[in-house]
Amino acid sequence: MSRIRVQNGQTSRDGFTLHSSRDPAREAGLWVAGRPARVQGLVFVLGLGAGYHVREWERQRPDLTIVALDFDAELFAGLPTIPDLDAATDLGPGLYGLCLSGEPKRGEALLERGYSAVRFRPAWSGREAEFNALEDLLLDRSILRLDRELIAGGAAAWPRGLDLNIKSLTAVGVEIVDAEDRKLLMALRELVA
Amino acid sequence: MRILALSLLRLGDLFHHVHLLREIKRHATAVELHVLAFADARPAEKLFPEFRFHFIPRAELQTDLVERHRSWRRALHLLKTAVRDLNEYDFALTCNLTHTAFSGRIMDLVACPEKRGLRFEDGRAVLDSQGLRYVNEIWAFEKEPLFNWVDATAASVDVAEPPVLAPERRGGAEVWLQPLTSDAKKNWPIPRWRELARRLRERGTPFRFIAAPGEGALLAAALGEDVYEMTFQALRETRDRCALLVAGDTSVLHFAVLERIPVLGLYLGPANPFKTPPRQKGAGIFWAPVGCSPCGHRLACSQATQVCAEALGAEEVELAVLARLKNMDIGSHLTEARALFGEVQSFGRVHFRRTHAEADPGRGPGSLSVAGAGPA
Repeated sequence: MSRIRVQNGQTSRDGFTLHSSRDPAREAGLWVAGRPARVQGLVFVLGLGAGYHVREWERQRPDLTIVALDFDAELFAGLPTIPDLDAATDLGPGLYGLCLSGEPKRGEALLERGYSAVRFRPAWSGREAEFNALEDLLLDRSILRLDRELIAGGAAAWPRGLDLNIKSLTAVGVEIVDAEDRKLLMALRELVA
Repeated sequence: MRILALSLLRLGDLFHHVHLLREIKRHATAVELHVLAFADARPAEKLFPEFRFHFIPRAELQTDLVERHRSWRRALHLLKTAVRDLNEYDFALTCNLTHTAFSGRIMDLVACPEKRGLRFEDGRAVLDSQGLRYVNEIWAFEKEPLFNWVDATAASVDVAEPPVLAPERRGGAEVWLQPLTSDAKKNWPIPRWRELARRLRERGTPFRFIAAPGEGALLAAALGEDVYEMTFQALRETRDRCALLVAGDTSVLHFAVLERIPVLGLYLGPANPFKTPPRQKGAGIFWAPVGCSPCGHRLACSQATQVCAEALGAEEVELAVLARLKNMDIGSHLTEARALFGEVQSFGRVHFRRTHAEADPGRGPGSLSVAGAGPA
């Protein structure tokens, strides 16, 4: 259980501030500026922080369905959380979601829709291990799901806008079951993340 | 005994790591030290024949992964082959000097009974030593850490801190000026270099501009001065001519430290003088402590103009150059300047004189006066 504190406009987890303490709006602007324009559809943002980056991205890209994920319910106080996120994502309990626009319906299976996953690292403080695991899980799901599509649709079915830049990696097919290949793919992912 | 060290960053970072590699080699008997680096660092292979190098073709892998017409399978095959080649060596110890997620994943793939530094084990990050946790949780987020990068990395892999090298004066009289770095934000503006050259010429101080191979013509046109393209090997062979190298926080600066050439570093943009100072006792450093400095490596300059570079005038650098050549103390001459001047101490930390009290003008053997930067 993490200790969340919101005080004087600063949101912290276990003593670590989850956004720039000097100018969170500017930090959010810079982060959004760094997002590739090719991202489309549903995007999971790993790390909520104080939500500046989510609001800014939603403002600039109203066409996206942005779902911010985090592990501490206190962070979402007063924000529109997704009802029954467990059912929508099947990512396990203890995970909470925020969606500012195009709010998914209760129980809608988000992972079936195809998605991108992006990191907001400043908000990972205090939960680094959990976020790493979540990212791995999302990557695994996208690989498995897209593998089926790839077989059916060939290269044309490759996903567009996977912000982890795993456009090619998602086409791994059955090789993903090999433990060494999986580790190699995780390493390769870091080269283009 | 075979030891593998991961140095998976840029060439300049590998030059930092050479201090650590030599320290590892010094403390192990009959050790065969292998280094895993990115292919961009291939020039290091000939410069340091005491190490056996292996390379990962990063740029090729990235192209294979992101270009639609290229095959991800080729990237997978290339990396798999590189890792399998490594694992044929039966390493007794692997040290990760890099502390990046990619290097941590590679550690997970290397077969070795003892591993030190950041690593993943079956997909999970392992931070099992105090030094490693310090680097990961504290040092990485500090702007002015107590320990420089080499010493912090030494702690993370449980290796003794390597010595801070002393420069050697070999009788050369030339000041070598290297204006370009790998990052535009680290570059001091060309007009300032031009002004520095004019001032040095007026004083009769011999100097030459140097550049990496391929950059000379463009730089010469911008400067209106002769520029000598120089490989690292050429720098090593002609080092006796050089009395002082002035450069940004770039590979040439850190290679010159290894060659014991006296250096003066201009730390601008993302260059952090507390994290990556030249590992040379008495090395001079200019740094402008503006609010945004040091900035992020990947971010564009957040200011309307590059205020950190503008804070450093040609007359201040000239004063520091002359003081270095004459082996004099700058004293308080620069305490009025907007950029701070500091020196690397014997324990590797740079000390900036931020007040007049710290800048004792009486320490040097004589006084020095340069127009525009007189004594306070």
